[in-house]
Amino acid sequence: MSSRKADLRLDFCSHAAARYAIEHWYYTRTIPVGALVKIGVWESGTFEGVVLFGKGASNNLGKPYALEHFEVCELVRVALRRHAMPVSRVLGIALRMLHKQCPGLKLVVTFADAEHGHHGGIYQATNWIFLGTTARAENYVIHGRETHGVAARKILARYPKDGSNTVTRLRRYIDADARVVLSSTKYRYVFPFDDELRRRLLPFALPYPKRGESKDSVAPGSPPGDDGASPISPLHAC
Amino acid sequence: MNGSKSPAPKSRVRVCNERYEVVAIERLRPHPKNPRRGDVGAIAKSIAKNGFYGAVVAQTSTGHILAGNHRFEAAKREGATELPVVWVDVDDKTARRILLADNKTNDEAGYDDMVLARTLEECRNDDDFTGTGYTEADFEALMEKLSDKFEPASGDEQGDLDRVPSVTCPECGHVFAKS
Repeated sequence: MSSRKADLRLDFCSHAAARYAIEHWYYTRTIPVGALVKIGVWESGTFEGVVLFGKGASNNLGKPYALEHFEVCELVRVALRRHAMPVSRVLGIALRMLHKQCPGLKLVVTFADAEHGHHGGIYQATNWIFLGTTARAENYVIHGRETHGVAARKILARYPKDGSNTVTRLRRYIDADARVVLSSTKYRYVFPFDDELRRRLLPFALPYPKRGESKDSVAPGSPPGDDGASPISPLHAC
Repeated sequence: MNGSKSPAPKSRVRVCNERYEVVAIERLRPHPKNPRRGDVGAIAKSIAKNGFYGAVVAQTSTGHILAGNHRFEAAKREGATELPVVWVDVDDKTARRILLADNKTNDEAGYDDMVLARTLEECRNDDDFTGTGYTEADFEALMEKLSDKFEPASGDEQGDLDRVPSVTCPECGHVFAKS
């Protein structure tokens, strides 16, 4: 065990490696589109998974924190298999690598899917700030796969706008069986790279949720809408 | 075209005396000495999906196919009545050598598994593996084989998550940071 620990290596990895890890060791089995920083994990020379950072589905990811889009990113996947090293250690190193690769970033946001039994234990172990839960939003099931509302509207962008709503257009142009579903509620965690930003965010921190705790017992961290697009007022006032 | 262009350097590769034609399939004959046994079914699926591309290579004097015997069989199975052919005017000795070399040089080839995996992934994202000769099981086996071979990649292959969007002035070309 200890020798395996000594052999831990994190380095950038290829898209093929990231895709393999996601498809085999991550519950959604889907890799996000768009720009990604892909940090691979090797133990004793064997590829054990990936930590993925991306821009997330929302263009307003930085808005609640008074940050520009290029100052914030999302931790989108942690997909590991039989790793010996604690995930928190892996995540800590991955965050340092991310900051070195993208020094302009000030904040990383992530969401733990409460409805899939994830309470964010690894974020708690790496000192992320918990900001509450997200509101439910409308997602769409397209060809049997749940698709984020923003992604669904991007898919529709190349089709004529006829004044009808998203699901009607999806049924017309993409999939006759498309339907609306409410997204699951997620726990929101943030990791500031900047001490000043951490200081400003800490007053909004909520006690960490516990495994198995009802998500309804945790105060919502953002108003309904686009994954917390509405600003946290005091941050904007600073 | 001012006529001052220098002539292309003389090629050091001898090109066989050949000509291209689309002919009735009856004019072509599988080579009786072809030792190769291919997967005609897989080629037929490729033809059904992608169409028949390229041409078979046949000896002018005999009509024997020197390269493309299995493609010929597959096309026939798919109902082809005519096929593109490149007739090569060679003697029987040369014809035999071409027949063997075309197969053997292919046998000597290998794969860059990472490139193969990426290309298969693209096919799967576009559609599926139909017409590629590969199956989902082949892909899974390849990925399993690769999983222990994934090597670190360059930082240049990573996305620019902190890239400040910019706008270029169409008049002067000055690049402004977009706020």
